[in-house]
Amino acid sequence: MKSIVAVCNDQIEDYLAYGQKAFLLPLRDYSVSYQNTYTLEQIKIFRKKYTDLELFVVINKTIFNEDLYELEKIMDELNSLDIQGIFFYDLALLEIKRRKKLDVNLVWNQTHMVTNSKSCDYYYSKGVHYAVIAGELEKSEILDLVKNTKMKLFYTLLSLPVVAHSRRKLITNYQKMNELEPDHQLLIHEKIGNQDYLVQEEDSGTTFFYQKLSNHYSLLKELTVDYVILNESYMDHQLFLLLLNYTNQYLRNEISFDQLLDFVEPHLDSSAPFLNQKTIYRVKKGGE
Amino acid sequence: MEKIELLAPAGDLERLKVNLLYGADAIYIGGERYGLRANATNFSLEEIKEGCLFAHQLNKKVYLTLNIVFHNEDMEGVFEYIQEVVNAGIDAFIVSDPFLISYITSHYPEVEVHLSTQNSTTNTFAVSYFQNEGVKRVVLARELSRESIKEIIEKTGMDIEVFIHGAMCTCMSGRCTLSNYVTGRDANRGGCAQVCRFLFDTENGVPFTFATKDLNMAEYIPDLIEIGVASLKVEGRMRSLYYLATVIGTYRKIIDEYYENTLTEDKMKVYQERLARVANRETSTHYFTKMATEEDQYYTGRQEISNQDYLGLITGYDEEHRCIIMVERNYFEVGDRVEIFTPTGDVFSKVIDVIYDEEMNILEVARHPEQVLKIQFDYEIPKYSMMRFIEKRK
Repeated sequence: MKSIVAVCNDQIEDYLAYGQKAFLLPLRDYSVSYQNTYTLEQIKIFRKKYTDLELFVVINKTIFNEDLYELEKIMDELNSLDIQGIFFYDLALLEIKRRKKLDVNLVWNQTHMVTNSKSCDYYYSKGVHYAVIAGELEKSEILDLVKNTKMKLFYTLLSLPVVAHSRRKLITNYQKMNELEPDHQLLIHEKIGNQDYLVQEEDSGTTFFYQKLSNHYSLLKELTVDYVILNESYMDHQLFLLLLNYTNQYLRNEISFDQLLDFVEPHLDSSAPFLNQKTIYRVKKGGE
Repeated sequence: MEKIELLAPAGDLERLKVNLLYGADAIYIGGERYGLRANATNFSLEEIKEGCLFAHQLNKKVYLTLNIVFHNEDMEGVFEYIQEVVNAGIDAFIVSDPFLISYITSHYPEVEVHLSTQNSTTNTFAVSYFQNEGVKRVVLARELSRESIKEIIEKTGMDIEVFIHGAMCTCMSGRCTLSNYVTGRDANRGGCAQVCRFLFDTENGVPFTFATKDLNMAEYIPDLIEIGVASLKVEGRMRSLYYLATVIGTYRKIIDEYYENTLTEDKMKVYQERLARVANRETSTHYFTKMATEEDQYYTGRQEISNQDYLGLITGYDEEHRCIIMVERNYFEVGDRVEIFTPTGDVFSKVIDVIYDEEMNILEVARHPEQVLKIQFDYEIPKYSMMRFIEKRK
């Protein structure tokens, strides 16, 4: 198992110093919910400079018709670049790969929808050999999914969890209606559950983040995925490096699982939503 | 030109029948499992069978939602369930899971698969992808403009379904788990708690809310027909009989009059007023002609209007006393002006001159919902006609 990092700091040496070998690079104007994005030119330079690193590119915005022409060109360029794969949300990317017979690997990354092994295997049969497991699954569901699919899998170990995404400019709209100073970020508090959410607006819409760092480390010992994702977006850089360091030490068998937990857990959300509790969905049985 | 389909929601058999009688061409329903409205009544297999039979007798169709985001445990029993529902006579499945799309198209080629709006399909290539997978129709995301919808139809030739009326999600369908985090209910498996209608505190003291107005596309029905949309979908499997009868009956009129070239601005004004009477929120057209803005949202918390226009459901006719028989829903009294509207689109205006109970005792007021009442009327009105309030007695 390897760690892969979505970085928020251009000082790449910071991460390399902790032995980081795999990176997730959100493509500017084509990715959402990441603090830092990179232009195609920057990704090319990155590739050229660090030839031994694994690079995956994220294209996870909702694709509209007006995006398709540029997207095809981008896919062509990424196909000729020596990258390990593209994280995709919109099926347009799979269609472009099919039409153009591109070799580039695709990673099924429909944030909340990668929830069962049969659908993973369906995409595997379509030439998509990687998937990112949804963050809302309970522990036994995750292990069951991992056990029953051919897919190579990613699991998000550390992040501010993405809760929702809207095409609407929700902060701008709110500020206009209330005659407030313009801003692109807002911290909101939900009273019933006493929870905080970070709301972040970008050109392509608005994302809601759960304002507590996900705590999925307890799963790590039993997890047999190919990559664990550590996403630095909206985190403190020094804290992130610290957690990355411990994680990589564990993955290199330099520290024990218990030592890892001792190091990381004080910094993380103790509630670990979903991991230990299935969500309810059958609110009322039909006919009652 | 093939006539556009009017697709209505139904949470139970009675709603299914009323919608079809009021002019829907097809109905979408949820079964007891696998639909995105776990809180709706939903249909048993027997009810699905009866609903299909009723619809097919009218040469109309029934579609079943199978559009939750499946977890491994949800797959247990789903193949048997699909077989049973096919046997019950369903015309199409509305599905989001790619594996199940593939399963149904390969095992049941005689049954259509419609791609659920849960997939938030927004572009030509994504539509083409599913077209190659055997999907017969795509329910597009609600975030699309007229031009985008038109281009998708022109470039793919796919049957396209769009929402025209009802509640709107604030977030992209499938990309929202607010309900999961705030209430522990899985939005993508039918447990949505509509957290986007909650009020949130902020550091600046001005509460944050991001609820949207409802959708009302009545004025753009001609546009949707002209750009080649195949089906117009009304939201609301949990809505009342009165709401559904009014909305479906009104859209039926708009569609038919467009094709007959008799739809005028004055008539459209009447239809909009009719739709407004059953609306419990303000409405907008959201993304159809422009990017949605602050004008398409609410910023003052829940502003839902309780509607007491619906006075009763007509259940029969008393020949002897020349009275319609109705089941009361809301208060009315002698002297009130009312309208009786029928599934065939007829509307009769009337001042209530006398109210009888079931035993022909005279009442001054109707004040007991569910009470059977009789109102004098010279001729028989079809079953499932309804009475609505227009004006208080003067």
